[in-house]
Amino acid sequence: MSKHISGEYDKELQILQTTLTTLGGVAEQQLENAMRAFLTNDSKLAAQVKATELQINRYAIELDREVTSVIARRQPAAADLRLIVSILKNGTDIERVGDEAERIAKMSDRLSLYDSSRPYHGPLTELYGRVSNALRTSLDVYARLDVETALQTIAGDREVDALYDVVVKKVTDEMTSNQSRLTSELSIIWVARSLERISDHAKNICETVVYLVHGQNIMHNVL
Amino acid sequence: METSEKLPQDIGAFHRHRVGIGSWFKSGDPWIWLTATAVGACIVAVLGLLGLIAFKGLAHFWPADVVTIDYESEFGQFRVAGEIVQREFIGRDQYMEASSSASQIEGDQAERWMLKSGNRKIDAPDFRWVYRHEIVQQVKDRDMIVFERSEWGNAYGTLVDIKEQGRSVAPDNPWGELQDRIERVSDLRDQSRRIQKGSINRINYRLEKLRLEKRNRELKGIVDHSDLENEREQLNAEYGVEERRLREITNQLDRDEIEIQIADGRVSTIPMRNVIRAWQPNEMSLWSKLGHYFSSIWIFLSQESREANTEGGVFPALFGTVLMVLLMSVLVTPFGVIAALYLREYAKQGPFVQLIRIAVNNLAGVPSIVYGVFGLGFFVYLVGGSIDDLFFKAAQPAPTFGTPGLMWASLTLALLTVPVVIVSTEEGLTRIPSELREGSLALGATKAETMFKIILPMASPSILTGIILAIARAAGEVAPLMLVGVVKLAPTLPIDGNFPFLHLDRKFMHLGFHIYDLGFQSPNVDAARPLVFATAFLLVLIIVALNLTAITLRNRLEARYRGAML
Amino acid sequence: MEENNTSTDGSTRVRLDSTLVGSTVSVSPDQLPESETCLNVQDLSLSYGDKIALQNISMRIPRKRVTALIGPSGCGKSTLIRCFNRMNDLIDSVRIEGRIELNGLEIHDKEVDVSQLRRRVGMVFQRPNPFPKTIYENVAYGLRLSEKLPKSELDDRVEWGLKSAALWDEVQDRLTDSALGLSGGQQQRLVIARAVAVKPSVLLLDEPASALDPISTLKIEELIAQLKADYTIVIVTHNMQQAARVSDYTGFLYLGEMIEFDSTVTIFTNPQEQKTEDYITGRYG
Repeated sequence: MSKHISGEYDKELQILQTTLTTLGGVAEQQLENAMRAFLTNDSKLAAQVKATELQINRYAIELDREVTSVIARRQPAAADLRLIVSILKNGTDIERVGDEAERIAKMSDRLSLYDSSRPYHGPLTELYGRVSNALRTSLDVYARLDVETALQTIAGDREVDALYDVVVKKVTDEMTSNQSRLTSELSIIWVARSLERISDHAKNICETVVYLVHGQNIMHNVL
Repeated sequence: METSEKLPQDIGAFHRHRVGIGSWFKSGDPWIWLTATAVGACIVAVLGLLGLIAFKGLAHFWPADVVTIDYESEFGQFRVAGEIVQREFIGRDQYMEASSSASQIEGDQAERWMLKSGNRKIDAPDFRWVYRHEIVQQVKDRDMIVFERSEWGNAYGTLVDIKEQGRSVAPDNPWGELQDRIERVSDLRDQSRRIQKGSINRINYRLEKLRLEKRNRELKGIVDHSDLENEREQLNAEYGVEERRLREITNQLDRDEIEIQIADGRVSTIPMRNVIRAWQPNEMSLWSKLGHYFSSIWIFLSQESREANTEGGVFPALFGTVLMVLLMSVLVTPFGVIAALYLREYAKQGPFVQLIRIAVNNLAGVPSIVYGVFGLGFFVYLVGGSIDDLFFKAAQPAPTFGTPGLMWASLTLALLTVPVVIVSTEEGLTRIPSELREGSLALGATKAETMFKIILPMASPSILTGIILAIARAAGEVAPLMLVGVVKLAPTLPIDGNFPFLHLDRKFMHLGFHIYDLGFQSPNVDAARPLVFATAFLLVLIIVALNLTAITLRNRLEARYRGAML
Repeated sequence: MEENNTSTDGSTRVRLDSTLVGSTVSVSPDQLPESETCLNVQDLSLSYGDKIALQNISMRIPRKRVTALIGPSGCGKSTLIRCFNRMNDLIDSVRIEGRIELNGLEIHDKEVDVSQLRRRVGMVFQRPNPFPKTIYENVAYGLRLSEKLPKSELDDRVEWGLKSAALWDEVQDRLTDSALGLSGGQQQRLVIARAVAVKPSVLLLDEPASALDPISTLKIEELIAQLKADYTIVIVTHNMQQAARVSDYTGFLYLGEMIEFDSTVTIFTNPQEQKTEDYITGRYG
């Protein structure tokens, strides 16, 4: 897209984009660290995730402030308006991803007994892999405005939902048969739940990309 | 911190280092001085001109003291009384030419006074030069009386006797008696004038009408005009009555005489009917002199002139000037405004319209005498002659409109000033914002409706400006008027009580021409000179008054439309 | 009472139905039925001498809606609006082709009286242009031209006009004062009152607020929103935000061509043409 007549405007939008991209990168890293802390029972890493979360929140607040200021001063229209709305929405989604990552890190504190021999281990790892992938793809899609991939990612969310159901099923089966580890197994459900939510956020980001490019809101619509 | 230290030095760089002629020129001050001097010179010139005219003109009406002078020249010893109207120094050479014995004067100059000694027809001349060094004695005789006479100018002398039908009255209070009798003749004169200007004039006018009616009927082949004859008889009878009344008044006027003794001792008789006013200037207080002064000015403004315009007032000329200017304004306004409207509002702007505009502007530069010639040739002879042929056959061969007159003079001046009105009106029309026109048109008004309801009212200040300029130009013109209607002495005013009241065909008098006549055509230059100044001052006042009226009107209108203008 | 959405405790119940976003029109004007069209412009071209000002413009201006025309200076938006009341007739060298139908009637027909047309299509200009007359006379001006009303009816119409333009309260005590004493914003509303008083069906507003301060501008915009109920309004503006605020439909003109004409929401969120997008977002064309 060609430049604005006002170079300042371009710079401001660029700053917003950079902030959002940085935020996305940090959130992605948070998810990875949180999961590693959870899986390897690394309490130090978990503490680091929690500390970083504060930073993410500050970033998100900063982003909101910047967006408000651009709206107030520039009254963006058309593509610019859609871009600003996307940044605002994506910011929120990414910030939520950060929240979920923190939740996972918290779970790792409470649960020092993650056992890879458990039957739900496989599906959870797979769930994590898919969600992590979806998040990375969604951020990538946003950066490249790749509608095609975005639509695929949105479709992929259903598989994540199915996998989540599998994890929940396996954990509840365990819980009914062996009641001694109820707390830890409940935590597994929470982690799975967080992963599922992150996937939803990734989906939202992809939907926003479609809105940004085509000006059509496809949220909540069945494609 | 570095900048703050440097700052004062930087400012110092802007200070002027050298103060010399070069920098003075660069500063632009010389230009201001030059322009201011030019303006100052203009103001001095204008004020000087007005001051000179006002002083010379207004001083004429002041009742100056009458001095009785004894002087001794090579021709003998003389005594003369009069007002000193001028004092001047002349060189030795000039004095030598006028007088053979130069030995009496000391130095290179001789002072001489011009004495208005009056007494024309009694003692000649009425103005004379007296050399200061020849004066033996100079007194102010308190009994000296100035008589303003209806002919032959002022008389200066002391009252000897008042006679009624040839017999001496020998009154106890001669001065009071004199004033009473002057008042009596003044009343009688008024009566006489009323009869002449009123009823006799009216009868004459009707008789003339009857004659024309009769001629008209003859031209149509009608031979029976007994009714006209009857009316004529009746009018003639009325005329007889008035004439008898007039003769009676004349007899009464001739009743009194006065005897005066002039400075050299001779006694002379003046018929009372010739005395208009009498005053004793050496006896008068400042207040009574002021009173006399203003009544003199009033007489100047309100009376007709006498003695080839050198005495009396300028009322007919004043009246003629104002009437002609007003008529001119009435004629020029519609012409100019309509032409400007067409040029600006209707005509398609292009080279042709531009050409017309240039032509109009050039028309303003044509010498006015050319307009006079055109007016005479076109208006008077062609148009006026045709009107006479068509409507005034009865009066022929005497012309009615085919001769110079008020109408043609006004029309000629209207033609002369129409470019000014056109240019000014056009300027005003250009200044009206197009939004207002569009606003009116957008409400469904036609072009004509817009013109009359919006454009013309808004252009009215500019139209008035045009009229102001036109008046300023027209009131000062003399040259063309001499050809198309102004005369030295008009027997009647262009407005009177006879139908149709305004007589456009009549010739009239004009202040500008009056000045020319007084200054160059007068038989008595010394007597006329102060009147030249007085009349000139009056003319300037008239123009200023007409302009001020129009300017006030314009300013009022302008205030109303100011916010809507560009 | 069941329909009343104010409950007994005074709080307002939120109703999520179509009225929540009903004020925004998002239907393209081309999809409107014929009866909804007030001005139908077909293949309109206009040139001054050799200079082409408008090229093949076709648009259907919907009835009792606000249509905004935007575009850079010299794009022909004022020229276009001036076609609707044939103000361009005043220019000597102008040549017009194509059709403009007002309620189905071709306005260039020989039978059409231009004065009548202009009474039906009122116009307000950029600079407030009250006549140098009293406030009353300004509003009565158009009425006196077209209708011979008795004094009392004239008074009523003047009052009605001033009320329609939301000016009555401010000027009712000084109707006989000069209109030039009013503020710029009041003058512009007076001009609108003057146009409304003759009861036109269309109001053309040529940058009506560009010479006014922000508060006066908002008052004019509020007035436009009120007048929309009774009049078809066409507004030319170079202020895009204003177009976005007041209009239901927006047309973007560029170099004498109608680049895009659609609902204002569409134009300002998701224009279909790159030129519109660039203009609206302030980019190099």
